[in-house]
Amino acid sequence: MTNDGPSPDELIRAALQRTAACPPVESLELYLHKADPRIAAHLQSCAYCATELQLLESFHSAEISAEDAAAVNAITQRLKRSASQERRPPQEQPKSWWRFGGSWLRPAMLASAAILVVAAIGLQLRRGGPPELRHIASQTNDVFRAQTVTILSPHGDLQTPPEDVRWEPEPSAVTYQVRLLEVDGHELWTAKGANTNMPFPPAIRALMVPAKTLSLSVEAFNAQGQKVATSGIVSFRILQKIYPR
Amino acid sequence: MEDFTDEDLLLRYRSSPNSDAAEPLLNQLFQHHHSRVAAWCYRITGDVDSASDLAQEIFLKAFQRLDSFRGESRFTTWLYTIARNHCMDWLRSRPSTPQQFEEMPDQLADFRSEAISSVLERRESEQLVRKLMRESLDDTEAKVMTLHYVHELPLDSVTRILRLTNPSGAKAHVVNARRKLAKAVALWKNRPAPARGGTDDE
Repeated sequence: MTNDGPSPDELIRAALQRTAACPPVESLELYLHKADPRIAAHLQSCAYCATELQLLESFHSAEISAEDAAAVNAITQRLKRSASQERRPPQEQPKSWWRFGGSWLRPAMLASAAILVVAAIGLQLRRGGPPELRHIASQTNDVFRAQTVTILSPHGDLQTPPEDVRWEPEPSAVTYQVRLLEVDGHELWTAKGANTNMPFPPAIRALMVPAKTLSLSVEAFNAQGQKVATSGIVSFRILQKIYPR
Repeated sequence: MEDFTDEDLLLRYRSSPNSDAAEPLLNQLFQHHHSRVAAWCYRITGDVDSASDLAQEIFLKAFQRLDSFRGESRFTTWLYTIARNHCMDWLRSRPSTPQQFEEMPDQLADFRSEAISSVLERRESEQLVRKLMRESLDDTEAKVMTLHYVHELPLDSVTRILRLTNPSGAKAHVVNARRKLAKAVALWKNRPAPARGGTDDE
């Protein structure tokens, strides 16, 4: 008996690898639209192609789960900001990022930037004094930019208890925290999520009795867990029903 | 601007790639795919900053390789291959701690030492493991194993990419699959000798 053979993990990997019998991705794309018995038979016996087909189908469908929506929105906003540069007037229009990346000028620009950095460091050293310290507040993990989350609903006077709280997305946020407060600041309920709405649990809706003013706040956090925006306090109340005599 | 199909946009772009109209055409083409590439990258990385960087790199790569698109598939499929390869390369390039699973079940370890090294040729053994996996694993387990072992994706990425909703995600499927495979190997070992293909020297 010997142990010179492949390890179990290597065996598993080799057994699941793509083989010469696997169809190209173009054939799998066709299979998405029209069933082909030969491809179907191959998929029954090939985990590699079955996986590839699922990934391809998922990419084509572009379906975005509710929990990914806020993050995907933030990423597409960044992509749009890059692309929107090309809509500026020609005299101030920089090349789009995808053209800039291939420019022959890039090495020269990098070299110029390096010279400027060296010159700046040299000047700083000649001044001799200690560098200015940043204010301590700038090192905290709190809000970096004066951004606000706009609560769309509920606010003001309402006829019935709201089903949920809704707000506008903050591009750099991946999670949000909602807080429901009484007027004295006592927290009734809080919840976190990635969507731009949050349903109120039935037990909390039951607390929204007529004429009682309640307050809401929404805070947005980025992928590092830093707070990037806040809504401030928004109030609402349920109107009392007036029954005719 | 009128909303053309991807193929129309490419055709128009290629007819005059250096004209003033070319850049907006390409921007429109890529904007068609912003959200699908963003969603893909986010599922791979799990964080917005890395996914944004990856998405921009994917569109840059697509632009640089645009001449290689020959219309043998839809533009979306062509972009998918770029996105998939780029993201998987990125995952492999990151320093990561190998996932530790429980000790390999005895049957699979035995399978390695006896059945593979001294009884069957490697190619035959791969075919046998493939067969045993096909017979013993369910679809999800097979896909999780493929993404983790072949594409070397971390388990959290596998969980997101396959949208697994069970509490421990892909890890549970890998553990189950390995146990099932070990059991299948044990059954195979206990079969009567003639059924083992006549290559066994026992």
